[in-house]
Amino acid sequence: MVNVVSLAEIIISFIAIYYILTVALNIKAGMTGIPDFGHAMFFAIGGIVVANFAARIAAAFVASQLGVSPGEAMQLVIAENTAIMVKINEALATKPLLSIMLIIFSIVVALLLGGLLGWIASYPALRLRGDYLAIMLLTASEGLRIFVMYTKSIMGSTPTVGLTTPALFAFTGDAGLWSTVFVASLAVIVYLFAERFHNSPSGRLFRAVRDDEDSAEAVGKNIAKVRRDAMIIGSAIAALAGVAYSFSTWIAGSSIAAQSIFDRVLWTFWPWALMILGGMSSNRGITLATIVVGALIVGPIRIYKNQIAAALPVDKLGFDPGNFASALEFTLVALLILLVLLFRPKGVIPEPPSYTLKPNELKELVKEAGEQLELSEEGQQS
Amino acid sequence: MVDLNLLMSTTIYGSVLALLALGITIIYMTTKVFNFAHPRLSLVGAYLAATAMAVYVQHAGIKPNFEGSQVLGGQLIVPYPASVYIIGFLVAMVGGVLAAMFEYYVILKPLLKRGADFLKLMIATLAYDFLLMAVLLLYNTHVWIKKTLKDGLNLIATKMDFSAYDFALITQGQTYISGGFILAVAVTVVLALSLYILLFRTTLGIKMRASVENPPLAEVLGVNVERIYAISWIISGLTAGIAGFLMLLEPSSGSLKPISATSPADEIVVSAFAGSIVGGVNSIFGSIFGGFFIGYVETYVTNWLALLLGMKELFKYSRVVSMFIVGLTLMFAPQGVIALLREKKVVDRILAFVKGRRGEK
Repeated sequence: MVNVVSLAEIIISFIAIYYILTVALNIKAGMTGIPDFGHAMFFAIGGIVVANFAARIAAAFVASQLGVSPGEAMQLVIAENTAIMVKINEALATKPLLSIMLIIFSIVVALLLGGLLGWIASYPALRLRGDYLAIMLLTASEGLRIFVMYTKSIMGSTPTVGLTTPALFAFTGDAGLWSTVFVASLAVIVYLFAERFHNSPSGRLFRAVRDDEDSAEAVGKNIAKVRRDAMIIGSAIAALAGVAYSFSTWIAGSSIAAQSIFDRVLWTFWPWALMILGGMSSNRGITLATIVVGALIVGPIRIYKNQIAAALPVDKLGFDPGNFASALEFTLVALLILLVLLFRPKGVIPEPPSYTLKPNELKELVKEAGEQLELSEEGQQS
Repeated sequence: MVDLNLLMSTTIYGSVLALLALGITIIYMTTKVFNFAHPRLSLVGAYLAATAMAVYVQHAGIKPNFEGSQVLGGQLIVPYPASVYIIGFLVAMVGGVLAAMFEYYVILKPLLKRGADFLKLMIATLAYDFLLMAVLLLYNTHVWIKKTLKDGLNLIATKMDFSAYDFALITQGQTYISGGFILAVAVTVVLALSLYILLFRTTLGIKMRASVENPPLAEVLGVNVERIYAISWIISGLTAGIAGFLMLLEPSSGSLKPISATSPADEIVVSAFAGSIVGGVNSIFGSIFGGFFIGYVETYVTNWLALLLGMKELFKYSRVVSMFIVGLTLMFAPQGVIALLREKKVVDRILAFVKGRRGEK
């Protein structure tokens, strides 16, 4: 059993990771109308950056302590992952500067690579519409998953076990707490970004393209560029979510596997569910949905699902408790999404209108206009 | 020398893809939604068929035909009497149809009535996919099902492999023609023929084609479009169920093994949609061609590349091939290969290309 502090940390990390991932999807699907059913592949970029690139660089820096040359150490990260990563993580625990540099490196590289993959994926996004694009992105994501799963030099030889992640927060002494704080602060930054982005000129342009391409084009906007920008920004943020996941010792554990970072249920469908539940293109709705679902449903179920299954007398009915618990999660997400689609298709908080001016500025304007109107009316009367 | 076993297993794989692509295409033509849950419908058929066969074998006291058993190509083949397979085939069809009807009536029809757009329908089919996965997960780990499958057919419920009970039709030395291969080809041909007769030689077919072409006009002329849609879902479920039964018969080394709650539906979704798109999402017979095409290309192109590059591990990447095919088709021939060939655009384009080059000189 986990104690209360750990439980809070798990739930906060969980909400933060899903919030970042859902915002990324919202920029693509909610604001610009690109039906991205391959969201998991952008998320996976972040995982690959941490488990592969950052681990290799860490190995090169601590190679002298391991007694091998930097080049050899970088190869050993893949070849003898578990054995060498234990030593590297021991060394990393005493090197705060290197750890911090690697954290910054992972975030920057993941943003760049995520944006790059988004740019590549925007090539079909400019040419295809609607359901064809959805199929294309889903297929691309599954294809990339198969490629990564069987390519040893990317995610190790066993797709289900994967690579041990470098313990970048070990130097703080309490990796669980500090990774949670870090991931949560990333989520806060993303929240502030999303709040500002919604009402910014480009945010309004994105939604204009979603609502009516022809009229946006008629006023001289470049549709292709808008869709490409949305793919790049959204995918970069999705890769950031992948990095946050790999940092989080509570959610990802000490290793991440190719199969789990490309998981359709976890990283494509859950964000879609949260986005639709919260309200498409509604940042506050998404925040609310992520917090409520994360704190009340998913967090406790993921953590306690075996206890829940054991508490219900399912084995007396002949079901297997472990699999019952997994099935419970699938059933809950599926029912949640179907009920929302049927009874609340606009989400809990529908898309807010775009305010072009701050409310008090608007009030002042209205006041001025009212005064002028009164003046003119007085003039007419006299 | 042609590797006969590879050809047979590829053909079974191809016909499974063709049947799945056919179901996806029919649904897209009528309901205008890509049904992501479609490959999982066939798993429902496969599991129900296996359970029914196991129960039947136990209750009727049928023993596998050890006299007819042979060791062929390193595999012991112990056939059952034909009645077992017939029961499995029928139950698989019923299972597929039930799962498809549930999807249409309980999930998609209410959404369509509320005016949901394609995005919401697609998400709903994904949700149904997960719901089915959960049900199958509960089903294949249930004690009674595990025991029934083990006692009746000696199958492991979480990794079903029925290929040892396939029957060998023509044997010569160690090479043989497998019954599953013949069944796969026969079923696909019969299904294609009967669909042709249904669509082009009956009144119902005219109504169906009318409701695909122009639903409001068909409705004005007295066609019950909703019933036509329901019929298309029945056909789609039927083909999915048959595909599920064929999955059981594929050799254990093939692309569809092992069968569990998640596999192979999770991976096959790429190939099935590839088949549907290559054939053209608005062409029923194109999708049958597309399925076989994807099946053969995946296997033989990766095999050929593996030989060429000397990399034995390359066969694992076979589904990346179909991903590329989907991309290329959507980019350059979104109407599908069949439509392209029919309009003879291929020839024209090649001619134009050649002429253009000459002009440049």
